[in-house]
Amino acid sequence: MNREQKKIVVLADGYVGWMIAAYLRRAQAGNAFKVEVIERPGSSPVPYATVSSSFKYFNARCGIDEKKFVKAVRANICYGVRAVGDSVLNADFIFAPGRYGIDIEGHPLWKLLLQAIGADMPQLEAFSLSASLARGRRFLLPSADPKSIRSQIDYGYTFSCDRAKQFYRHRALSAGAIEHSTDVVTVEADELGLVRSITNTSGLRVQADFCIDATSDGAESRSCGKFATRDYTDYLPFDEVIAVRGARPEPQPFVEITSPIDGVICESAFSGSSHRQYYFDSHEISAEDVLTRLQKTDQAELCQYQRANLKKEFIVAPWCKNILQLGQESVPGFILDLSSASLAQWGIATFERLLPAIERYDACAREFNRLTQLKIDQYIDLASFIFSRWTGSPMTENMRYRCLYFENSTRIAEFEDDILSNEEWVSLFLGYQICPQLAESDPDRILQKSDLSTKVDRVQSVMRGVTDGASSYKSFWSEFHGEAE
Amino acid sequence: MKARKHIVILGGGTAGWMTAACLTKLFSAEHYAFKLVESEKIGTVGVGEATIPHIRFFNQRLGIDEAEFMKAVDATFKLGIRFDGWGKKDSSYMHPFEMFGAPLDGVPFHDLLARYSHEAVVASLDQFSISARLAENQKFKIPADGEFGYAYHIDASLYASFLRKFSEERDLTRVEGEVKAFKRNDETGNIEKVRLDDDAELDVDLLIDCSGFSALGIGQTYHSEFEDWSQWLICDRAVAAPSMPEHERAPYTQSVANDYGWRWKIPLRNRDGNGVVFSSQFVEEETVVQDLSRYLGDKALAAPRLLTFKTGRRKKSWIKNCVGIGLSSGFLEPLESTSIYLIQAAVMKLAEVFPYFDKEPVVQIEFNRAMCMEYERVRDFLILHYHLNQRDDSKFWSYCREMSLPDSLNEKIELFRSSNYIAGHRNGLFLEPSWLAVYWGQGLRSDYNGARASSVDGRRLSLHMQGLISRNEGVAADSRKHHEVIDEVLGLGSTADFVWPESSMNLYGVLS
Repeated sequence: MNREQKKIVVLADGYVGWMIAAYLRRAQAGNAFKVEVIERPGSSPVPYATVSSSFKYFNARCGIDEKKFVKAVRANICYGVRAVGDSVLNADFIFAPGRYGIDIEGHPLWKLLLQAIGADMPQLEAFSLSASLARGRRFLLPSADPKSIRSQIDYGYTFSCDRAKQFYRHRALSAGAIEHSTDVVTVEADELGLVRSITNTSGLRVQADFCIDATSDGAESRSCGKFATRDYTDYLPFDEVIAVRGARPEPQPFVEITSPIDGVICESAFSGSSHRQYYFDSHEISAEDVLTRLQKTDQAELCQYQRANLKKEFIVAPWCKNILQLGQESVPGFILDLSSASLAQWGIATFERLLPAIERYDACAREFNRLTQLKIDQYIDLASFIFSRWTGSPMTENMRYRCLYFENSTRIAEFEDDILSNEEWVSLFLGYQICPQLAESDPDRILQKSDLSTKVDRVQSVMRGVTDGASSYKSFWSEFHGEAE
Repeated sequence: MKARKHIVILGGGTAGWMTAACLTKLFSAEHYAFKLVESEKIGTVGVGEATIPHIRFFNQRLGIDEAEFMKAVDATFKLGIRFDGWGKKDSSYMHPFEMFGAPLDGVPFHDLLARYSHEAVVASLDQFSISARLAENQKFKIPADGEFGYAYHIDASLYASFLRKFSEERDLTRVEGEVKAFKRNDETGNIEKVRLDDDAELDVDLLIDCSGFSALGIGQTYHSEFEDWSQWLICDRAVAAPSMPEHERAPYTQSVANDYGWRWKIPLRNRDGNGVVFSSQFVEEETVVQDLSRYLGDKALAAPRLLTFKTGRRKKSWIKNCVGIGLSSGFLEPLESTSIYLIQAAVMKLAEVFPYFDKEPVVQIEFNRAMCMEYERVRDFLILHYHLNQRDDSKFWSYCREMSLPDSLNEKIELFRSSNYIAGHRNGLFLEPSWLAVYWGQGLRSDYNGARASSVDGRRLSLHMQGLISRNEGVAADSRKHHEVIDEVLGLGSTADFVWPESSMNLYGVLS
């Protein structure tokens, strides 16, 4: 490998930048690229991250032992998202990633349940091991054997961003990344639009062949290139979030969303605290009123809060010349896969695949931006669905199409690299009460009702057998992490 | 009892009978009256005799016994396609139904290969493929645990007869006749009745147009726009002829590039299917016929037959109550044996929405969207074979090398060249291993030194790669000749209990 070492400079103010550095150093361990991190002080508007199961694969590629990660960041296992009803929705269901039960005689379980809607039948949720673990507040890890029913368990994490930053920083530095701590940074492009170096006020100059801006606002590099954005205002009803932290001794292996009259609250409980985010539209209710309301419900628990504006315009072309903006985009949607962490992880893995060709940045940028656009559109589709169920806001055209197709055919429309599996879509649709009628002639309508309930019972008892043996989540938490923060 | 819906399938080729078999198997005669109209006067095109592994999924879904099927359609096994003279005049490579090697420490095979090939001499990708090794030695084995996929060479007209019997046992009425006219509803525009040449009339709720290139419904009646792709896939003719079989039945389809296109050879049990695909811009039909006749010599079993075609697809396969399946909805040349697959994909998509076909236009829109995606996925991959060549011995190949490509393909090639990047998809027919096979097979290697694999210890990498090569050699040495395996599974020679492997909708034998 007799190639001149190229240098990638990462601008960071939170854990995303360090996660990128750790990943690049590990995946490109042959020293083909130097990785330097310039960190400026900053704070995350939200004190914890909710991330998908993709985290496990990402860490594996970084060579990180999962147990050590969970321990170090005091990660809370998150088996799903519980939606608890309000005036719009009269629901209480848990959306969980992964599989839902076992096919019966070649027919997907959910199709059989459609046949029995209205009858006294369990909800689809009862067939997700993850959802059952969440509801029962139990703890069980998936089996690596794909033949075992326990392999159906899937989960994400919630954890403190500060701890994650320390963890990935340590990983990155011990893998050979170089750190520069600084206050203000200036990124300037030359006449060709290329960034050659990055400077701070005290005159520190860091040469760069490629610059990844992973700060939370991407402000320094924004003016150096053309980063196309797309406005999703119509589908995102809230423009502000207030995050509060209160005391809550019992950890919960799920995220809970509830909806007061003029907003949505997303809550996660771990490390002796309750972390709540109140999403609202500032034209409808003022931040002061939100705080008053939170104080009323939380009484003295309210010990910290942070406020942030929510973006409605997203960068859909984050790669321009030799600059990549990564980690800024976060689509609020209250389900496991919707977070800046997943998008950043996906982005860095994709960047790393293109990395050898970054000198041909135009071709790389086109491919990366094409994939990003697809990804963000899909996240917005999903967010627009969930918001529309909570607030009545409009859905994207694509999402309307997905719903219409499901309602009229009981099938899931196929999209390239869909962010959810078909079963996950079905669980969302059914959970949010889109329940199509199974046609008389549908070959999935196979069984007599009595026969059906016997078979469904049998599947359910298999699933119960797994979850009933699991230990309580509380005891897992105190054994693994200890009681105190 | 509620009135049954009238389903009329137009045409009894491979498309017509695959549709009939699938629908009559999955849907009850209590709800539907199935009719298939065909005429003995109209021939079928029937060149699609090489298949890809998905056909096994189709047959298993229908509950068809694999050995019974193989007997009925004169089948041999197929491990992939061997491309001779593509890339360079003297080059040869396999496109196997296989993932090649396993990832190591999470690094995918093509990145391991990029590094390994900078450190050691790698003459060809074939040595990393079990199927390619088996094929070289005229051997075959039934894969274990999804190690690779396999398909068949079949006589498509025998397959149609087989499925006809299958369908007729399941409440399908075959109607002999030719279509004279359609009667359409003035208000809805739907086809309500089909009038035949003997003036008999059939009621129609859904018309499935499997009438081949004539596209009586979707083309002649509803004028669905045809998107022409012949600027990239310039071949527009084929000449086909059967010949006496070779002694050893090759477990692969052979595709041999010549000066004006390419020649196929498809080994069935009782004959070989042969044909030449060519561009009429570059050669006279007469020359092709003479060349093929000379090549077959006294082994020819019939005079060469000419077929003309136009490459492309209809923008909409489903309009009103008429859905086109097979050649009526599009045509892609048989280079990667996708014809029967594209029929299968359409039939399965139709079956998916079938109980809901008259509910909402959304069902039609989804069908059209899915089929467009299928055709486009195949298109760029086919163009790649033509474009990626270093042959300067004929105008045809120079043209293909110089022609302008779809942007999407240009980008793919450029990214592979510079960074070994192959776009991965969760779905799609031809994924990383297939692109890798053609890139390498036709002489395009990445400039990239494989630093993505640098987290793997060099000695381990070398052992891993050497291990794959020797494993594949071992498997090939221990396996039996292709014809012996066929004899065994058909119970023609020694009998044995046979466990057929699971099938999936995947080219590489990967089980879902």
